[in-house]
Amino acid sequence: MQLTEEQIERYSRHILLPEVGGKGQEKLLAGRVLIVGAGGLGSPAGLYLAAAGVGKIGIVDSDVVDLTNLQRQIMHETADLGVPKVNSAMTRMRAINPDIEVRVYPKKLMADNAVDIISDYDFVIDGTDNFPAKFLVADACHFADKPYSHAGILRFTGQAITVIPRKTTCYRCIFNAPPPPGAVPSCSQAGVLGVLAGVMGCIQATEAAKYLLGIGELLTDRLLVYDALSMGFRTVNVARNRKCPLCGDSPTISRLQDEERPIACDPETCDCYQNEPGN
Amino acid sequence: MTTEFYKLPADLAQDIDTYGSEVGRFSSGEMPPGVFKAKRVPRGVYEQRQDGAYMVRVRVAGGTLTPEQGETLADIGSAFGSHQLHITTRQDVQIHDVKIEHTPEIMRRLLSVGLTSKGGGGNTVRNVAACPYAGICPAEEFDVTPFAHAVTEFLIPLVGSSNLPRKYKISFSGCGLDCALARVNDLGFIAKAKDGKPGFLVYAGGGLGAHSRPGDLIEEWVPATDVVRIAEAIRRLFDQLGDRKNRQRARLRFVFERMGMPAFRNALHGVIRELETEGIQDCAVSVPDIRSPAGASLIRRETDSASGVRFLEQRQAGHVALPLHLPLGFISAEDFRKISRISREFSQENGFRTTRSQNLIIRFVAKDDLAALASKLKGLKCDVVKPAALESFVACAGAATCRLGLCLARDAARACAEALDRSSITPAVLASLDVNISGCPNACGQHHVASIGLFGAAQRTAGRLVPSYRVLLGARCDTPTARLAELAGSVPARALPQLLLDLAQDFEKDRLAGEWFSSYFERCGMEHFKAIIERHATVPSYDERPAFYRDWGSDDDFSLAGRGGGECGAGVFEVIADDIAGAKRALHSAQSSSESADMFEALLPAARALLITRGVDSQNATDIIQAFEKHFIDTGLVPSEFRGLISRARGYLEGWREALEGQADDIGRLLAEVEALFGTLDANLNFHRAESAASNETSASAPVREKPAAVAELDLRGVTCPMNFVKVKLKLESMETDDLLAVVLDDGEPVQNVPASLRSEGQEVVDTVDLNNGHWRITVRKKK
Repeated sequence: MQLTEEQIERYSRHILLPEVGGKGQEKLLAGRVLIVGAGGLGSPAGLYLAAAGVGKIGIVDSDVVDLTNLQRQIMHETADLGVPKVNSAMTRMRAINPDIEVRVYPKKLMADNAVDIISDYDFVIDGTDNFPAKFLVADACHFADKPYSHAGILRFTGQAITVIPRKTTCYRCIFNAPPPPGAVPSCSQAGVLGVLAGVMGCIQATEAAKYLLGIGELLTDRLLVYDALSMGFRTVNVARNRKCPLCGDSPTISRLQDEERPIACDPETCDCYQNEPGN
Repeated sequence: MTTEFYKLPADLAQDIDTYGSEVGRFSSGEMPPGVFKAKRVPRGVYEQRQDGAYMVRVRVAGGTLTPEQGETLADIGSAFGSHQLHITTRQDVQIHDVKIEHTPEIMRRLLSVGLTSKGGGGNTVRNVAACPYAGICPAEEFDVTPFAHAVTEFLIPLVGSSNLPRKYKISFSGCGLDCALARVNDLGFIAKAKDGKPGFLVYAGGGLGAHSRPGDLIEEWVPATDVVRIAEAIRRLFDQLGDRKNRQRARLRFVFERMGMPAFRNALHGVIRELETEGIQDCAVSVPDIRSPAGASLIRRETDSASGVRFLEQRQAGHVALPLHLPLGFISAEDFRKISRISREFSQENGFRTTRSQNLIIRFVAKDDLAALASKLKGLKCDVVKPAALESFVACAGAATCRLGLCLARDAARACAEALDRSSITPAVLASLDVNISGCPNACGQHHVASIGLFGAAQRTAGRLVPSYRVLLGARCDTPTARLAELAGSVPARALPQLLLDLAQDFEKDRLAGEWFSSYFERCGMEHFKAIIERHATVPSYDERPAFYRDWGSDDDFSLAGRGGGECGAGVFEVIADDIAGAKRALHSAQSSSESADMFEALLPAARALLITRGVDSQNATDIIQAFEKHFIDTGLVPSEFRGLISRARGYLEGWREALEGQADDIGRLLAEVEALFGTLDANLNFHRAESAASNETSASAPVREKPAAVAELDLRGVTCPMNFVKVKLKLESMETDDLLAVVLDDGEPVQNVPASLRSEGQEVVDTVDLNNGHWRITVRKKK
């Protein structure tokens, strides 16, 4: 690949970094990242990765833009109300950087399409907002053998971990299965600080960029926990679990299945009922 | 009455303000010269050969000037310039010797009368030319002038018109005799009415200069309403398809050569359809006066009047046009002002025109007014009425002011004209031949289209440079199958007057009544003329005739030192090839002897050959050897293993007689290095060693030795921080460890920052040299 004059100028601040240079930028341009969920996490991740020149970005979401989204989902604008999120996401990413390819999937990620979609990418960002979806992304990445960045947010607290399937601690190593119905409230019940989604989505984008570049240390085998109120980051070491139903010694999950919907959500108010995975 | 021929862009005043602040930043040292150059050149401001002096080139679409515009140009020339104006072969008006800080004010004054220098230079839509006889010539189909104005008005405001891959030249002729040279422009229109409707034959891809070629007929006929769409469509295609990397292969003609005509026409039709859907309107020029000129002859022959002026009979009865003959296109500001006033008084079209032959013409003068007008013209300082031999000459500025020029073309023209004036050649014969002279292979003097074309070159005789001219003959541009002149020979500059005298006498002796030199050439054939030229090709020795080693107009021995790059490289290339051939011959004959003196005879031209590209032109052997080491070995362009040989050469010069004995193999290898390096030289006189070194490796005959470090070159003049460092980084990434990279940087921030940044990244900066021209050359060894 030969960088064009325009690309050299556009990506000059990357090229200047000794760890990146022209070759690193070429890796980003050849990189493919799938973002599941064009919501609070997916928005900053998508915008930064587009700006960074990640060559192909896929975005999965079946939802349309809703007024309650705009408090944190910065890929969409007030004028986009009612527009499919993947459309406004694509418009915004292409506006930042026409250099990249954006592929949209205006559908839910499900057991029957997940591996297919994911296998076209090098890295996956889990930007979903509910447990069944997060487990589905984790399982699908395991079966497709693709690294992914998990993040979750609620109120003022966020968490994140990067997983290289079969090599590092996976989501199921830590959480095993979705929590029992009612145990954990969702964002639509408990609320979330808008910028918290920005911080965590940016951490996911950072991991994706580092992975594509092959530099630094990924956030593996460590769970990063961020508390916005005390403004503290801490990491909790998490080892692989031999009893993990997905990657343990005798796994019990041998194929991809849609997890039960969490009954914790109120079907009247929670959009995960109609629209997951999204938001 | 002020006629507005065409509207200038609405934001031009604002653009001049922007430019004004750029001038300020440049003057305060804040903006590097290279960056500023990119700002001023597309606005028609060129630096002259003398530092600190600038030239403003004002576009004059179709050559039409109103009296007010003429007066303003004269005022500007008096107030800010050299009190002289110059008419170019593209019908522009140039103001010379202006100070850079005055250029914004000059632009404002131009704007106040509807003139601009925008697009006067650089990679822009250049002045749109038109036949100066448009509207008055009996042979024309219709008046093409308004079309030159319409195309100007449409193209100039477009942002893309100022940032093309290379320049884009457009011209309009009123008939197939093509006085405006439509066939050698990037885009040329030749008027042709069909079924009573105005229209054009369209030619494209023509051009002079290096790789000159006549244009191809791309449309047999288009209605006149399509003109603007076609000009815009070609502009867009050129914008998309032109080669922006290689300036030497950027013009539209190379797009043609790459794509082929059918593919180009398809693409063109596609773009025209796009333009139609975009709603670009028909060209709204009304053509009231369509003629059937079959059999009518061209206006060009001048008639003497009782009052002493010479005039052209217009197709409008009772009206005449007066050509004003300016010596080589120059006229004092004062005379230009007077001519503007005369045109107001006498021309019924209220103004006058510039012509491609670097003259002026006042048209639509009532025949009855001739006497009155003649007496006014007598008040001018310069005799513009009576043509002297110099009238037959067109010459570019050449090395006098142009940074690309090799020879002093105007001085050569004057020397030739004086010789012809002193001779007994009749004016009728002189008026039937035209001589165009360019100072270098660039065709600013349009040497390809005159009956005798000359361009400046350099040749080496017995170690010294001789200014010389290539002679081209046989051009024919007034027929549908235009033909450019072909090379007929080469003569030293000093021999030019005698050569032209011989050619003119030969012509006079056998000339048929009314015959032009171009027809005479066709009748006699090339061989006839080659023989004449050959008689003048010899260069006497320096001791015998030192004048042969000096150019016309110069008292110093001819030198290429300090010459910039550019297409003038062509002249430089021949001198280098000459030296390399000389070194080979000497080496060949020295092989049997292996004597030091014979070896040195081979080594010296090998070392000297490429020095011209570095601005060194010396007769002194010690200087040559020293400069070679400095410019080629120190910079890594030639491997340092040759230092031993070079120090032996120095020893030889200092009296160690045996120093070079038996060194034939090493000299041969050095010569091979020099020749390989020469093979990578581009027209901007930069080497591209990295590529060639790679290809050398595979050469089976290459002697076994340590692989020399490859050297790449990067010219980052005008590139600011941090983009310059970005470019250096990218280049280094593509190179092997221990390879060398030579980088040319601007003075100031770039040379302060880039080497430091490279060191902090762990690269080795081997060398930093001040080139004393606002640039530095640094050499970097790749370490990681």
